[in-house]
Amino acid sequence: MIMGTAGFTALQCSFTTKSTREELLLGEKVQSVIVSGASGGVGSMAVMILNKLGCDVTAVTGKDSNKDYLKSIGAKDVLNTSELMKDARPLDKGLWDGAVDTVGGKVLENILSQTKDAGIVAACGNAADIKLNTTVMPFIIRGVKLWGINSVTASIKRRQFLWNEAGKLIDFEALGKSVKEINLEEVNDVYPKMLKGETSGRYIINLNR
Amino acid sequence: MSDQFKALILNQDGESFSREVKSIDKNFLKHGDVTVKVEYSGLNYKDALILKNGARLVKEFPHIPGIDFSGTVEESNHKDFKNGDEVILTGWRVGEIYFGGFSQYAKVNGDFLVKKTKRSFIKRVHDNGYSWIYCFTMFIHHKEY
Ligand SMILES: NC(=O)c1ccc[n+]([C@@H]2O[C@H](COP(=O)([O-])OP(=O)(O)OC[C@H]3O[C@@H](n4cnc5c(N)ncnc54)[C@H](OP(=O)(O)O)[C@@H]3O)[C@@H](O)[C@H]2O)c1
Repeated sequence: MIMGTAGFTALQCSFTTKSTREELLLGEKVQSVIVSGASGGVGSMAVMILNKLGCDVTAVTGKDSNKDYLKSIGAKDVLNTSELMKDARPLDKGLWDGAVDTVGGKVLENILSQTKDAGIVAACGNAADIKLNTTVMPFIIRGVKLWGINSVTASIKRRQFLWNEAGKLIDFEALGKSVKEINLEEVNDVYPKMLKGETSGRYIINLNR
Repeated sequence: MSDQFKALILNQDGESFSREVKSIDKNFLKHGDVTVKVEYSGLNYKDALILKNGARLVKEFPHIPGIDFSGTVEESNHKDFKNGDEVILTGWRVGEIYFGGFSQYAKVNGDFLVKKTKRSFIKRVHDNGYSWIYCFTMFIHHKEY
C-alpha cells in the first residue's frame, strides 16, 4: 500500500504526460515537466516516475522543508507553491512540456498558461481547490491538452499494464523514508491533518497492528 | 477466518459523524463474492474527505471506509480467484458505496481485484574490484503495493 491508489494514479498521470504525448500524439520528447502537490502521495510518486522515465522534473510544494527529500526522489528543481498562486495570465512564458497537477485551482491555472506547445497537463486532484478559472488561450494558441485522470474506473487491462510497470519505476527504498505505518486507531488523529495539508508522503494502515 | 475482527466504522447521527474501531463479524460484510484478509490499506486524501462527513460519496451508514487495500484471498465464489491468491484493490467506489479496506477482512466483487504481479530489477554490486550484475524477479510485497 505504499503505492496504493496514489501510486496507481501517479502512474496514470505520468504515462499520460510523457507517453501519451510522445506516442499517441507523435510529439517530440517530453523533457521538462512540473508536478504540483509534490510531497503528497500522488505527487511524490509522480516525481519519482517521471524522473525514471527520463524527464527533468520541477516539483511544486508548499513546504520548503521538503526540498531535500524531493530532490532525493528525483526532482531537479523545487518551486514553492506560492509562486503559482498569482492570478494567471492567459498565456505566460512557456516552460513545461507536460505537467501533473494534484491540487487544482490557481496552481493549475498557472500551469496551463506556462505549458508549451501541445503539452499535456494531467489533472487528477483538488487538494487546493475544485475551481478552475482559465481562458481558452492555452488550448487554442498552444494546443495544450488538459487531460482528466480518473483512477476509480480504469479498466482491468489498463490496471494490469500499469501495475506491471510499477516495479521498474518505483524505488521503495527511497520512498520508505516518507512512508508512515499506522494502525486503525491512529487514523482518527491523522485524517484531519491531511485535510489541512499538514501531512506529507504516504500513510499506510497495517491491519495486523 | 476468525469470527470476530476489527474494522473502523463510520456512522452518521443527524449532522454529526463518528469513527470508531469496533469488533464485528463477517455477517456485517454485505457486498461481493471474494473475501480478502487485508494486510494493508492506504490513507488517501479521499479517505480523509470520507472520514470527515462521508463527502457525499457514502450513501449508507454505518460504513467501512478505505478506498484501497492489498491482502490474501480467504474465500472466493469468483471463477478467477481462489484461496491464497494475493490481490490488490484500488477504486471501483470501494470504501464509498461498498465497504472498504479499513477492516481486517473485506468482501468485494472479484471483478474489481488485480492479482499481484512480479517485479524485476537489476542490481549492480561492487565487490573487491569486480562488478556483478544480478537480475532479481520477486513479488512486490503487500506493504509496497
Ligand atoms: N482522480 C483520481 O482518480 C484521484 C486518485 C487519487 C488522488 N486524487 C486526488 O489527488 C489529490 C492528491 O491526493 P493524495 O492522496 O496524493 O493527497 P495528499 O497525500 O494529501 O497530497 C496532497 C498534496 O497537495 C498539497 N496541498 C494540500 N493542500 C493544499 C492547498 N490548500 N494548496 C496547495 N497545495 C495543497 C500538499 O503538497 P505539498 O505539501 O507538497 O505542498 C499535499 O501534500 C487529492 O485531491 C485527491 O483527491 C484523485
